[in-house]
Amino acid sequence: MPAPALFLDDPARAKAAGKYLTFVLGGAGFGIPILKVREIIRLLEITPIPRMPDYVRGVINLRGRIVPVIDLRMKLGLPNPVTTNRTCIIVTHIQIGDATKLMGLIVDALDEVDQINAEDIEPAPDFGKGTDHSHIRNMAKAKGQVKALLDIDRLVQDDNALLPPEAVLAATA
Amino acid sequence: MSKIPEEQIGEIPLELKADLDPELVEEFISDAREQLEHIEQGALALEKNGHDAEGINTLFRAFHTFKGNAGFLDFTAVSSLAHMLESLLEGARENRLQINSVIVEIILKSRDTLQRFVDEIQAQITGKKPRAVVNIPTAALKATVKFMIEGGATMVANVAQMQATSAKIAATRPVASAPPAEAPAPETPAPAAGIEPASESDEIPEPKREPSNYVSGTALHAVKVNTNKLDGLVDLTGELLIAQSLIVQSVSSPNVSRHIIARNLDQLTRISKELQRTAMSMRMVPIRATLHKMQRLARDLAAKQDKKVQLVLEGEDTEVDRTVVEKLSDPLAHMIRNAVDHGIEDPDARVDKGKPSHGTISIRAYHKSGNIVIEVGDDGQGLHHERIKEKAISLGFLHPNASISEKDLLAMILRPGFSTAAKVTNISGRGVGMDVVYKNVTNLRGKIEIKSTPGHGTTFTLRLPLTLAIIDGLIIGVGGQRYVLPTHSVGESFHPKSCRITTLPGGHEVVEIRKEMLPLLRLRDHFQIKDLPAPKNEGILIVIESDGKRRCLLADELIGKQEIVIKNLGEVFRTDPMVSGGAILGNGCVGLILDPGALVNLEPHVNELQLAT
Repeated sequence: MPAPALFLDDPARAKAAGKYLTFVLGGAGFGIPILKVREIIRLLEITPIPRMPDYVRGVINLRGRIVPVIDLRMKLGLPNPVTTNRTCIIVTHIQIGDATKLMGLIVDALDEVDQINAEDIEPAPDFGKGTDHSHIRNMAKAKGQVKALLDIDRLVQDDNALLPPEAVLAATA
Repeated sequence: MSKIPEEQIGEIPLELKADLDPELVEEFISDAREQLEHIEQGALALEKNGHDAEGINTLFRAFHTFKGNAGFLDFTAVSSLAHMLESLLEGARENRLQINSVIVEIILKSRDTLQRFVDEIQAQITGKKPRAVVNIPTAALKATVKFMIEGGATMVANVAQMQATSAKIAATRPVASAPPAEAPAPETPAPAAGIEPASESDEIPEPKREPSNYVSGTALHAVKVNTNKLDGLVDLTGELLIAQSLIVQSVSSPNVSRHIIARNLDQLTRISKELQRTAMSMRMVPIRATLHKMQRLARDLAAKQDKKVQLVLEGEDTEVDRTVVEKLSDPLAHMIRNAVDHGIEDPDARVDKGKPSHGTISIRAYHKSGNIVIEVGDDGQGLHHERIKEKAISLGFLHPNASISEKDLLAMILRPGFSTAAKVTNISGRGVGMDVVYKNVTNLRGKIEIKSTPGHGTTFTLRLPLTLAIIDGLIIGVGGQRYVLPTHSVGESFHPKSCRITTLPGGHEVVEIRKEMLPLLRLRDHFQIKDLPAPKNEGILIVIESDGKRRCLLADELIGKQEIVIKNLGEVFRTDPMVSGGAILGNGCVGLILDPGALVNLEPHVNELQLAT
């Protein structure tokens, strides 16, 4: 894993700028690029898959299509996720190798869609050795709050519960 | 006759340029395959009747279209060969040339060469093979065609001699593709030496005749759909919208009787069912193309063995799911091989037995009670019951003293390594073949039945589901969740009280059912369901069978039966192999489909292993 950059040059900032869907996990603010989001649905009944890690919640029926769902709170190691009536599923496009797949992410609550400007973006701080925070791409200041901008493709990369890229591609073909 | 440019006679390598539009090429490939199909059918028809003007025209048009499409993409190597063939057929069209078996053979060989080009182009454009210059020799073939065009008058005069040439060509089919021979194109073939090309024909490279030749060409994802079906779908969608707005109106207006709402809902139900039916029918294709491929196969095989065989096809318009059709080619090809090689006798032997010297192989396809049935029959010598029995005993499949029904005995030939052919030929007789048929058909969730009368022939009957996308599922409940077992693998189910469960040393449990001991798999434990209270009843035992192995499952309850549409689980999770897919159940939730094959092969203690996380 490359060491996090201490400052971002202007092109990197400009590239990271744009519209983000922001949401809450365990009281903290997070964001993912809006282009990665397919739709947002309420928490509907999830069919668990036996013998999978806890954060893999199972699969849902999205209008006839089966979509896998992971609990983003558990995946990021946040303690005791509580389900409220604001809990929902963000259906995202994730990139695994050369294939794009749908995946649902369970989050505590949605916030809003924010325009995050280049000057508000900072590199993710160095959290110290032994912690892998490579899935936090950048930090952004928005309306007096600091939000972690997630790289969801990175988040699911090298996840043992998920298929390796070759297998995903083979299954898709 | 159109002039053939001299520079197009030699070898022309084919190169896919970097800036080639892949979409155009895909279009070319799919169209080319269709033309190749027409050419093959046309050539086989012409072999039977060389004077059929319409047949010649069809062939001419097919080569012409092919040439045009290839020329458009600058595939000179392909277009020049197609052009030669077009000229040849033009000669036939203007009665300067008479179609005979030599010409048919040349047409078929050219078709095969063109197909090799198409295969190669497809492999390169889809990235299955690296881009490289394609060097498929065409010069010898083109020289032969050119000679035939120019020596046309002589050829007509020498029909009798041509027959001899034909025999020679047929006899010299190299097994693998011959090395690209230097084409000794005769500059000015003497008109009198009309038979000279025979020596050349020997060098016409033969495309590899692998079984895959008969199944390739289905990898393209573009689909042709009957316009009527498409129009029907659009109409239905229109009706659906009307029905929906009717319901919205009737619900929102205050004084509409329940009766009217119910009627509108009925209408909606009817339309959705129709919509489903139409959508499913779009996956269906006629079995025609697959059966027609067999015609060529039967012809080539019979010619190789000096047998006379005619293939009779019936029910070519029977529709089957495209996934099923793709997987049918292989087993059908094997059965045709078997019929020609083992079934049909030599012409002399047939005449001795008072049969016509022509053997007949028939393929009948029809729908019957939700299945597609394909019968492959021959009027050959039939299976030798005694020989099968001896062989089965010698291979240890059968106890010498065991009594066995005729049906079970004949089913022995479906086992791997079983062949009663007296001699091993390069076509069949190695004991692979029928087990391939069996495997393919089982993979398609189908069944095979064999009927045979010694001296009068053999009939194989395949019963296959119309589609692979839908199965009959048995829905079971385990730990508050619903799972689906494919009904065809479920043997029986019964109450645990009615039989004895014994724990063996080592902790394995077995269930005794009618003196048979079956290993038990407690699904609750295996699924690692811990936090739920145990079910109130003892659950239900279900016997499943797969690959000849049986196992007993303990589920919480049986919920019901349902026809389910198999879906993948999003192709993201590394799920346990026992979960083969998902299905949307009646309550709108996803039910996981359990794979009987994985369940019967589970190690009893696999549940103690930790999942790698």
